[in-house]
Amino acid sequence: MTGLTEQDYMQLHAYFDGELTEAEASQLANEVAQNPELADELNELGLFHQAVEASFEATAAAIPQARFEQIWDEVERTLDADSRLQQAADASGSWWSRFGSLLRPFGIPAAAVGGVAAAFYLFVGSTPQPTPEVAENKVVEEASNGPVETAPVEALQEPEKAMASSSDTLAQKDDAPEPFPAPAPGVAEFERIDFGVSRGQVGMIEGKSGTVTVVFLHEDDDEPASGERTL
Amino acid sequence: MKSRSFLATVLAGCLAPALAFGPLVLTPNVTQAAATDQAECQVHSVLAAKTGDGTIPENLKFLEEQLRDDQFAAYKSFRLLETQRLNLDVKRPKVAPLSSGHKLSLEYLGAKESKLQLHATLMSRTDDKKLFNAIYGIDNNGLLMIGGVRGDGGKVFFAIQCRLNNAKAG
Repeated sequence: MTGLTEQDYMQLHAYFDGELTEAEASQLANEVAQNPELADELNELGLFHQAVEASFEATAAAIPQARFEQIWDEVERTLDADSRLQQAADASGSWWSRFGSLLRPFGIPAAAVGGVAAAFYLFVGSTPQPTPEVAENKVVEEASNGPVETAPVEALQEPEKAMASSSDTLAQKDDAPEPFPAPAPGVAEFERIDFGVSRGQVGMIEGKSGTVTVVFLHEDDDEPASGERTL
Repeated sequence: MKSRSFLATVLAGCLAPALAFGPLVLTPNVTQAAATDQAECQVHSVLAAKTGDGTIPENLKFLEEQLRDDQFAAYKSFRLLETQRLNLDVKRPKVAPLSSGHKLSLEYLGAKESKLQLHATLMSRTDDKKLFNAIYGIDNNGLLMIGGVRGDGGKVFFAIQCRLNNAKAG
């Protein structure tokens, strides 16, 4: 069991490390002079420190100057690489942020162009379209399948009123709805067909403008028309 | 920095026209896509009589090729009774009372492979008996003729022409 305290060891190590003030060093010297055990410990520490310093110096002496420069070059390269990585990480951000930074100088002109375009679009889009005034027949009927809403039906031409072509008549009325174009050629493709008459026929009429599907219905007391043919 | 400025200039040059004209170009397409939920049909009622000189009136010239076909050879005159137009929302059937006394129900079922799918039902003029009931597909602006049912003074044919609501121009 040694008589030295932990405080004594800390004072000795601080002395060798040069961390003591002048007063503390003087006080430690007095204590060493009065305490042989402390003096012995100081000697041992002194020998140890000398051995360590000699070892370091011997190692340093064994390494040539060229090797030091090589080591420092390697250290500098590592530092440079780390620096570049850090700069890249700082500068990368998101793709949008980089894109935004590219466009930043043109932000105001682009916003102005966009504003003009939006204003023009709103102006054109809000221009009221002519609404045809047509006679509306309010129809409340049951559909063949499912419910039927109240359906406004546009009566474009009343019976007994057609003197010119329907298209011409519609075109002459400023408020008339846009006439349908000439029918497009093309046959009807039936997914389901039911006849509630005694006889039904599906025919095709082929003409210069294309093929049109015609469904002939014959009610119970009809005589087959001589001009109609079954297809 | 020069290349960066050049890139910014090019981008701005491309974006400015896109911003200016993009809405104008894109909007009709959006409208077109939305408008496939609607169809518009025009129904012509034609009275065919077995007497007459065979003249096709001016207002039926668009059907002349069909009316002069052999299948209509039994009829010597044609008269347009009326034209009605129906705006159809998808799967919302509408019934049109026709001047001949018949009722025509039309339902737009949607568009499939560029064809309008329609459900047409023709009902008797004396009761609601279904004379004709069909689901069919037809090209945009295509025409289907049904008829031969009794009318005042002859037989009545109905020419049903339907189109997508966005296809008024063509």
